[in-house]
Amino acid sequence: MLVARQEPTTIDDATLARSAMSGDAGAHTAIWDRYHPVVRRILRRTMGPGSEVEDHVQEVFLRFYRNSALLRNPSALRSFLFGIALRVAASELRSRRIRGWLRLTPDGTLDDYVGPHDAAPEQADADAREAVKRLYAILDRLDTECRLAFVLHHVEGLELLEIAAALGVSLATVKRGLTRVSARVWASAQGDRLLIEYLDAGEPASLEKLR
Amino acid sequence: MTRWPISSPDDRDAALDTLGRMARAQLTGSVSPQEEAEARRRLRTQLAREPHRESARRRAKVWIGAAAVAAAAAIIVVRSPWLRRPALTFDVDLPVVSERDYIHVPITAPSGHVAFSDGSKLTLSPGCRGRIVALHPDGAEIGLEDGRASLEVVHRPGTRWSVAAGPFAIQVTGTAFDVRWSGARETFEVDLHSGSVTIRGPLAASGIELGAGQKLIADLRASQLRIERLTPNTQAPTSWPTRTRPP
Repeated sequence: MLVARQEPTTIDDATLARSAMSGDAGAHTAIWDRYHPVVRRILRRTMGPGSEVEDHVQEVFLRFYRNSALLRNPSALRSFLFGIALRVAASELRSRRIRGWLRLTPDGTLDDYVGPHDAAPEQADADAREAVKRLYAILDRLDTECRLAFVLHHVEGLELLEIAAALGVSLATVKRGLTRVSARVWASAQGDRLLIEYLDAGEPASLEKLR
Repeated sequence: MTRWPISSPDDRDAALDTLGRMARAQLTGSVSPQEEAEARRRLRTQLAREPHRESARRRAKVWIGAAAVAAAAAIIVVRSPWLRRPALTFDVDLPVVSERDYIHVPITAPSGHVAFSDGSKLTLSPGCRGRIVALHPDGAEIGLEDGRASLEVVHRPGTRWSVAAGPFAIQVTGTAFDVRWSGARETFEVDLHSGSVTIRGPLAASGIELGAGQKLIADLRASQLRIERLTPNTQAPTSWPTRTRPP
């Protein structure tokens, strides 16, 4: 029980991953402690505002528990978890789309859920929140892979190579996909007066405050 | 900062980055310490259950696999031609003239007989002609074109016999009856000696159940159909000759 003997924060990813792969339950908890904020954040950003992500956060770590033997390079623990989180998000987005087709909910999404710390209310004003909501409404119309690429690039701020690695596709595919999806999001945003305001040259004061 | 109007993809990406930054600032994914502690506790509970779930999943996979194999085996057994029961065969005795499925007895000859491999027997009166339309493992479809015939069906579960006489159809289970159809006079008669049959036709569209000892007479020209009790002197099925069937 390596993790039990050491302070988890001092253990590097590779050691932590090897312990987890050997079935050390303490290692799994330590991995949760280290990476749950990252996983929750990526799920929140890929799935959008109003989405309940806690079940999916749990699902990511349970999948890691079941599939940790597949981790070939223990030092790539973060990327491995990142990949699982993206697959969980993609799966949920596809299910949501199917629910939308079946009209299980009006648009395939759950009712608006705003967690107590979700929207940083001290920073974001109502307009900014509404703009983000509308941006994700546009993203809801994209296919899952394009949506993930857009979020990873424009929201999460990842480089194209990182996105290609995370999505398991070539760099050229990411470039082509992003060009296409950015043009589409841009065109859709042109039809939204609120979004145009944020895209316009003069950034609103509320946005400045967000930085 | 982007400038309006957007003139290049780079400017467009920069403008979209602006929206992205806004989303990034709002969607932090942070939770309260209480929620975090609750989520951590929940994960530990689920991880503790995982070994049991894993074994349950393995058992389920084994059962699903076994069920799939059993289903596939059942389909193979049911559909295998070499495991299916063969269709009935028949032999004819003189004076029945048989040309493939067509059978008839000359008007000047005595009654003729058709023997089916399940033991069922068809007797054709002089001048009768018809067809063995189809042979199944559980029965046969006989078409009576004209004349009188007697059929004795050996009753077994699932037997499937039918006789079509002109526009009439007789569904048979296990029974012995005479049937007569005259195309010239458009008359149809059934004498039922044992068992039961269902007759469908122009004057019996929804089907008439005929019981043992009953006689059905239909006259299409007069649009009349009646059911009578069989009189004692009604001719019983023609006696079956003792014969040795060829191997």
